[in-house]
Amino acid sequence: MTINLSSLSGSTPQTIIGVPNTVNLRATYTSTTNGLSFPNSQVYVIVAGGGGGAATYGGGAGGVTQGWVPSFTSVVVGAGGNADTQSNNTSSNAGGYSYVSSGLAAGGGGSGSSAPRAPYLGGAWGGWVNSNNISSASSIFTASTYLTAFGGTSNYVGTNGGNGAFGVSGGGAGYGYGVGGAGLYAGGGGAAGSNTNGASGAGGVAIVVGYSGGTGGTGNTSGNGTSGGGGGGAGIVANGGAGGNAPGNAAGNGGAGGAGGGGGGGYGNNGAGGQTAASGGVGGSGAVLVYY
Amino acid sequence: MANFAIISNGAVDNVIVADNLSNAQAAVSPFATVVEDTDFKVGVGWRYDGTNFVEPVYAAPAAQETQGA
Repeated sequence: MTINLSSLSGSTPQTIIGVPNTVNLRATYTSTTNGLSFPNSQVYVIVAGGGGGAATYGGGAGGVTQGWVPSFTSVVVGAGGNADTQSNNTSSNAGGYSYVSSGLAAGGGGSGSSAPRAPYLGGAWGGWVNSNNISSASSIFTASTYLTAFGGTSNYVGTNGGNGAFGVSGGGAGYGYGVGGAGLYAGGGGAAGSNTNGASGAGGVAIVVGYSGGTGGTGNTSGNGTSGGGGGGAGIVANGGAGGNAPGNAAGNGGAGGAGGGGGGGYGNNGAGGQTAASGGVGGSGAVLVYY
Repeated sequence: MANFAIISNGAVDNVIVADNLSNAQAAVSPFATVVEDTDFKVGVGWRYDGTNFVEPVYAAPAAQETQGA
């Protein structure tokens, strides 16, 4: 699958479609579950993929889709991507995808590493996206899988830092204390600070469901650029975790994304061009919400 | 609660959360290869040789885009 960068700009959907006011939330699944049954032949579901794990850059939020589907018997919940723990800024993973057995699916968010694992269709990109690295995205899904095309891709595309872009699910922030992109249902993770500004970016908020992103960690007040961890993005059913502060050379860990798709925060660096062993944030696991 | 990797053609197609292996296996397919990720480190796109998971090799970032530059 080839990604056309020109099609990846974060954008607000033309029509924001909320959950119908004729139904109520009946169940929330944050783990794969079988043997389900519902009293109605059709139910309304929101499906969120796992958030991307983070390195220096914030992880992207998991994709979110919603719509009416035939009643189903099982849900599969995607895991959040793991964090970079090797200080090489390349070992965090994209989140897993989630789906219900009658068809609706949502992709995982992209990782916040410098060589990002591409997200599945519908997930937001992680914080560092370079055209040289976007060639291997794959998906078992097609656009027609989505009953309501609500799981768009938001992203930060750039090479020199900045905030994550807004979208249905928020993109992760890029290099240099960028703030994670806000999303309608899940926010992206914030980035670690840079050498010139040790403070780290906060995670993006989830606007519709009202959860907040974690705050970014503070930097070293001596001005040597030591950074804290970025904040985790908000999930669809939980707040994002706060990034750790950075006293001395110790970098704070990024906050984990909230369950349901928040991206993890970035890890800090030591202000001397190297990176500490502090981990990035773990992406939140996916979730499936059922209404009828 | 644990993470389980879903294997397709020697590669990790998805990583899911489930209470146990039987739950994960039943939900995805009785014929799929499902392996518990006990270290919580496996991601989509990793290889699986039947025993071990192998992380893919990715291109290093350009120097001007490296954190701390």
